Amino acid sequence: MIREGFQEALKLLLRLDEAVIDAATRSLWVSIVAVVFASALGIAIGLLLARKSFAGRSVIVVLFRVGMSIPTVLIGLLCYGLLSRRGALGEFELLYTTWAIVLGEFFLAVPIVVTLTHGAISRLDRRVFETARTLGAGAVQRSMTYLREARLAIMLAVLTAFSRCFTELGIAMMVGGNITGRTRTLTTATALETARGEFASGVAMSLILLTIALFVTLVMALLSRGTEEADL
Amino acid sequence: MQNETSHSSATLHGVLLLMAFLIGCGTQPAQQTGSTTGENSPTESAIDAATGDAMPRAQTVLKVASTTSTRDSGLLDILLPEFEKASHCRIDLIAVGTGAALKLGEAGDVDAVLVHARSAEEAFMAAGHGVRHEPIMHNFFIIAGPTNDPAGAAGTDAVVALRRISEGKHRFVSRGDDSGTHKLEQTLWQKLGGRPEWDGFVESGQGMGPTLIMADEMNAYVLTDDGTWLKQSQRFQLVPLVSGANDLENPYAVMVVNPEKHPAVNSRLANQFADFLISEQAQHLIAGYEINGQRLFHADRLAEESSE
Amino acid sequence: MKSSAESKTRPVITLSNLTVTKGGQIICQTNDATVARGSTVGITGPNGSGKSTLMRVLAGLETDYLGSCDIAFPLSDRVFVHQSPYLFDGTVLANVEYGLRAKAVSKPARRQLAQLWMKRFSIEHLAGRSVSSLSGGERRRTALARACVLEPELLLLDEPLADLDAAGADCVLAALHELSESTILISSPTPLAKELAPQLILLGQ
Repeated sequence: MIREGFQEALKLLLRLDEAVIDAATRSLWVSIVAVVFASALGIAIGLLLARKSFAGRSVIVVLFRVGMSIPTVLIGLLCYGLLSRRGALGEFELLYTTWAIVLGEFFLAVPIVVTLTHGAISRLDRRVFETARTLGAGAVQRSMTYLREARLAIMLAVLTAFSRCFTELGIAMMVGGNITGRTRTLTTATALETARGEFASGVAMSLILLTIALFVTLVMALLSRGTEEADL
Repeated sequence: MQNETSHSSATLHGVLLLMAFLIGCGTQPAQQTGSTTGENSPTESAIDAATGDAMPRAQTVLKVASTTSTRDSGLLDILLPEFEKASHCRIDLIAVGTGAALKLGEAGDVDAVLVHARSAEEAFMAAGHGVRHEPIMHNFFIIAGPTNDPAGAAGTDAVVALRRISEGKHRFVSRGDDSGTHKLEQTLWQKLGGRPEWDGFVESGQGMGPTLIMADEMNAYVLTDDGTWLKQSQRFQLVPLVSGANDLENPYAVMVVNPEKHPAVNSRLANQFADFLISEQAQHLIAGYEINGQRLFHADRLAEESSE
Repeated sequence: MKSSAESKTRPVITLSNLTVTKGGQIICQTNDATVARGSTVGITGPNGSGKSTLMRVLAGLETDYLGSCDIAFPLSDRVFVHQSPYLFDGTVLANVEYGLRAKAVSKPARRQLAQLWMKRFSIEHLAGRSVSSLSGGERRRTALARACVLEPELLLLDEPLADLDAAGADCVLAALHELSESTILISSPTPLAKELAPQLILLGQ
């Protein structure tokens, strides 16, 4: 079946199958947008949690850590509750649009980025903090310095979040609806092919998804190669 | 950070792992070629005679593939335990999409298939995947839609309703997944001379439940089997508009998977299951099954009572 | 407020029975000592005598101690250089300019100051080099330049002459000489020359 899947995937790619290109582009777009927003917020929160002391900080750190394990179906359900006509955000009619998926994947990605960024910055050599401070850097400059010193680990955090979003099914299915040409992603397309009994086709979709994920990973590896490795 | 391996190293590991996995999977024997290895009935019937001490697994579990809408109707929750009691076995029900259910039967991963897609069933039997085909019951599809019915579909028959919906460019949610429901929808479009394209036509690619939810959210028309409909309609703002029409009949059948193609299939038990489903007892259970006081299925094997 | 003459002679650091313990052990203990503004003081003692700890206390990085340590300078006026300095990822120039970016110094002025001090530490030819490619001595001098360029009121240098050869050491001492206004404390395992550090604080068991 895997062999057939490979052949099927090759065929789909070679003839630039419209449906596949559509699903692939959508998967990419949705995950990238979600991760961009999630990183903007998540990196900031992670940095804050690492550097600022306040009551209940360790509780919040644990909560975000647990948040990495929320099943996508649950997030999908909660978002559905929000976006449904009867829900709090129902008037915006976001259900069954790609923005709904972006929203769900945003919630999926934030805990990952927060937790991994917090970890990365907490583990910086204490001399980084002491040096930045003693040289008189202000809060903003210090924050930029910490992010820069930890950038490899933070990039990995973002990549991890992206991978999670790119390959999730529960959210896309629940709030996207797998609508042909509108909210069908590679994962929901795989689910459909499987339900239809077209197992090889389903495998093909997933192989294409894996290939894209591999490609993204390579791009990130190249980018990180361009930045210097921090001295150990 | 100590030993932060570069991303390319992680990538390489990932690729190697993937390749190992794929190579491992690829060495499984192909299932579709239908090569029979001589193992068969003499052994099985010997064990049959011994009745169930040796090889308890093969004797006491019946694997049945059916569809999500059949499961969601709730009928199987009543029907299957009866058979389990009578035959001292356990039924593993695998509810998936119509296409997948048929594929499972084709692959011999289940012993019996219970679906409602007559043309696909005929193809299944013609290809020799099944040795027995028994119609058991039927219900009907209905077309549900928004309460104000902008297309004026109420009270018409299915084809007229679809024509009005498409011409008026009203929202319509289709299954789009080659399920029994979807295939019937396609037959209806054929009667119209093909399905027109319009913006309001949406294919959900999901099961009946989620499709209904979508139609409800979008205030759209939808073709649904009355089983799923009756079970879930209280939640929705949609109303049934077209029902009881002849071209909306939804026949269910059970098929016994061909043991010659797949010797591991428990065909004895599967045949007993088929016998059970067409027996008077089961047929009465089917006929008596109601949701909210409404009878859901028409039993095929009982003398037809006065139609409603 | 005191007259400038008085403030010139008033000690800026006053230590009295300073004791730091960790895990029940005394890791640093000094006698009473004072440091005058603008002076250069050496802190010597064998390894393990608590020199770095004292430096960290003076820098405000350690607050858990017994006895008293009065320093006339707020934290923002003190610059501390680690025994093993950490250089930020990037170029030598970027590191040297780091502290200047925090002050409202214009870009050209910043550049000028940085180059002046890199010259004093004989690293001006390394301006564009990435810090990961530097030798131990070059790293040390970069870190020192990075601190000195700020011309802080109180400069605390933890073993600044380690991994420097004789020429490097001379270079550093000459550069420090340029900081006439700053109060400088230098820790080292062996006493520094009297001309450099007239005052000595001895630590030892």
